[in-house]
Amino acid sequence: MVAMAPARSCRIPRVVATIAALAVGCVLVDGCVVADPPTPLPTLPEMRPTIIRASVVPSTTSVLGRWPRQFIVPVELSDPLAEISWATFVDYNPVTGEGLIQNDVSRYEPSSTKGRIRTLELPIAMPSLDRCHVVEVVVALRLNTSDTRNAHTPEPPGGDSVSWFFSPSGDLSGCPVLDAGLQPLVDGGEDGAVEAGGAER
Amino acid sequence: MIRRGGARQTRVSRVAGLLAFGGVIVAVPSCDPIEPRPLVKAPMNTCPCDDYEPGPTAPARCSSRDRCEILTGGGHPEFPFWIVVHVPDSSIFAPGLTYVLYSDAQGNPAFKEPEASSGVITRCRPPSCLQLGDLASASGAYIVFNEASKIVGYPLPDETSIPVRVIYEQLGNEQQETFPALPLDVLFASSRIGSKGAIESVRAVPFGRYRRIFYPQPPFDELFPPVTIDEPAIDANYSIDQITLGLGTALDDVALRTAHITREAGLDGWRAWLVDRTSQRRISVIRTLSGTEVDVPLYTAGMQPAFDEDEVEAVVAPPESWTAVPRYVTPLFSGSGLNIAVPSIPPPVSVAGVVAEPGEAEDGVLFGYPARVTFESESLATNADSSRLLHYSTTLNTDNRGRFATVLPPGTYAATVEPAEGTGYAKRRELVVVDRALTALTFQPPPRTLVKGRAVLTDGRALSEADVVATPNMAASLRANPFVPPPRPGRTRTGDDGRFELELDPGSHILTVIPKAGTGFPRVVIRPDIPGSLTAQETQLPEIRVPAPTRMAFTLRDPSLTANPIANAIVRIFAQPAVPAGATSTVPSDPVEIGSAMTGPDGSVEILLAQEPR
Repeated sequence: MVAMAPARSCRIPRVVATIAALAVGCVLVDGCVVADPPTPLPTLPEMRPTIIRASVVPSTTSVLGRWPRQFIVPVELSDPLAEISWATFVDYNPVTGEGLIQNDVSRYEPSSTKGRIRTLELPIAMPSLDRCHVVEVVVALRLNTSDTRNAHTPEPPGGDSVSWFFSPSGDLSGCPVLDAGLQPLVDGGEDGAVEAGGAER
Repeated sequence: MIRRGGARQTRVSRVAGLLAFGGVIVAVPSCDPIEPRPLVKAPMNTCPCDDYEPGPTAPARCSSRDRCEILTGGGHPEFPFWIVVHVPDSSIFAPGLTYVLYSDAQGNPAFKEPEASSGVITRCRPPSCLQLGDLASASGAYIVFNEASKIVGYPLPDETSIPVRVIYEQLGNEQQETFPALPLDVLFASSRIGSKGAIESVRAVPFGRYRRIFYPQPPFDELFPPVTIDEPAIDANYSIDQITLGLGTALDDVALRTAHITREAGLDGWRAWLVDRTSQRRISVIRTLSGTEVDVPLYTAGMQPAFDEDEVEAVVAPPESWTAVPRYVTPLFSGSGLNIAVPSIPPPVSVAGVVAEPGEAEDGVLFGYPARVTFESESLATNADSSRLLHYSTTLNTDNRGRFATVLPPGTYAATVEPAEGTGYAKRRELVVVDRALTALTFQPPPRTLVKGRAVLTDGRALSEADVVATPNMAASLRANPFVPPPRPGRTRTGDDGRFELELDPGSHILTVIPKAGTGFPRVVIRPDIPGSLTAQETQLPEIRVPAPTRMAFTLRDPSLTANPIANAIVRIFAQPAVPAGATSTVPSDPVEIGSAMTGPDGSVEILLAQEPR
């Protein structure tokens, strides 16, 4: 009696232990992803954002005769979670670095309805109506905006840009312009520049 | 022994149990599928919907998309709106063109189902599918008859075609005579030599009403005037606009269009032409002048009504390369005013100065910053009296320390100062009297107004991570004080509590709150007037409430029998703000954009809209 009781009482936990061990084995086999220490997922190399030029609004295929309230720029990203920098320019002058209007960062859209396409809606202040202007939008993963020239040149892995001509008269003469015929540094003080108006509407 | 053996077995079973427990702990989380978890803090639109405010005619209900929506009968908003479709350049159909679909509160005509034609199976039925209108191949030619060419002094054989540039301005459609200020592109076409040697322009345009302006190209622009036609509407696949000067279109009375122009200092290289006062569009030939006194015919065609309504101005302008020499612009009254004596003016003077922070300079040092300055003349000095008919404008950029220098004809100017973005100073316009050389002209625009606000959902949650975009309300700005220039745009983002702050120029703005994409909420538009002065530099907007959306979804297709989808098109919805109850203003506001989206590969698009903007 004395010997029987511990034998039965031991058989029950043994059965439980066996089942538990089997279950653990099964679970571990099924969940084998933890059998080895986790390795980092392979990371794709960074790729530059690409502007879907065909869909930008207004269309770049004709001269703008009217100033739009905003420019719509769809950008395709290799990583939809990526942050992208953008900058807008009007009459960017590579000599003086002038022309930066605005810059900002667009953060990821978690459930974008159009896959990897992020659409930027950029209002840009209307320039003077007396002559043709060149409007440019630059997008990149990173833009150094501490200097206008850097803002116009994306850092690696690069970026993309799209430009429009805006001419209220529909006349393309003078596009693109630097400073309406006057050389920079001549008339604007030490570093300044002068633009002369008077063009025909 | 037995007890020890039993104890060992018990230990074994305990260890096995612990292993099993640990295994479960380890296995359960590791076996979860790896799913992307958006790290978004923005509130999502999910059911239940009891806490949302109802729409004008229906409460917010849980839709089949597990989203709270204000359902409407026709699947479209219950107020008038425009659908502006920008077809991408990559489309086979109508690349780069813009369509406007108009709808009233009942959804007509954009969502009205077309009448069925026998034997034709329509693949596209509203409201789930919208079909764009047809395209026309519009050709234009400017034909000149011998009689007319002899009048302008350049004899040509009958029916000679001259090269032109044609501008197409969309006017409206059969429902609306004119569109309000919608973002419609102006289309251009230039002449080329056609199949039979004729010089003609060809342009694909959507069916509709257009103003077509035919501008003869140089050197013919000195001889033959521009011609404008508004009718007929372009509604056939092949549309031909043929201007025939000397047959269908006659030159206006030449004797009444001959200008007598004098200038003591000479007119060599100067040019003269006539413009429509409202649109500032050139309506006459451009003539290049010489000598000190000249009689020059400024031919026009079909513009007699504008002369009768005193809507014409004459312009005499110096060569484009000249600096600091004004143009002369004089209105014509009852057809007279073409006896023009360009007044002599004193020599230009140098103007130098700085754009600097407001406040008194300490030790005479002003802290300058970069800006753009535009001088527009109000009146200019002549060697006799001052004249408001002389006009001069110039724009300059300062250096990084705000310093500038230029030359100006003496007179009174409106100087518009636009501090560079990021400086925190407001756009400002002020009067400047330039009666002598100025060496220390100082502009000190005030700081921009700090605009504070909060965006909340109508269920009380804060709307975080939303874009807030401010654009100038041009219609209101133009009606306002001319010394408050149209403000510049600005943008910011709401914080976790829905609050936002941004610095704006004083003036009328359109402020749009755009919830994060995919959260299921519509954009909301308000039109605040932002005050600004040297003392009041902060303003608080009323709480902006973002409601549950009304969903509009459809597939966009071309008008062919196969109704092919239009992919990657930008679709934008505009609506005219309703006049608030009790408002006395009768001037209609420009439409504001209340939603936009891009069509997918199958042409489908979903746009979430709030209630009628106010």
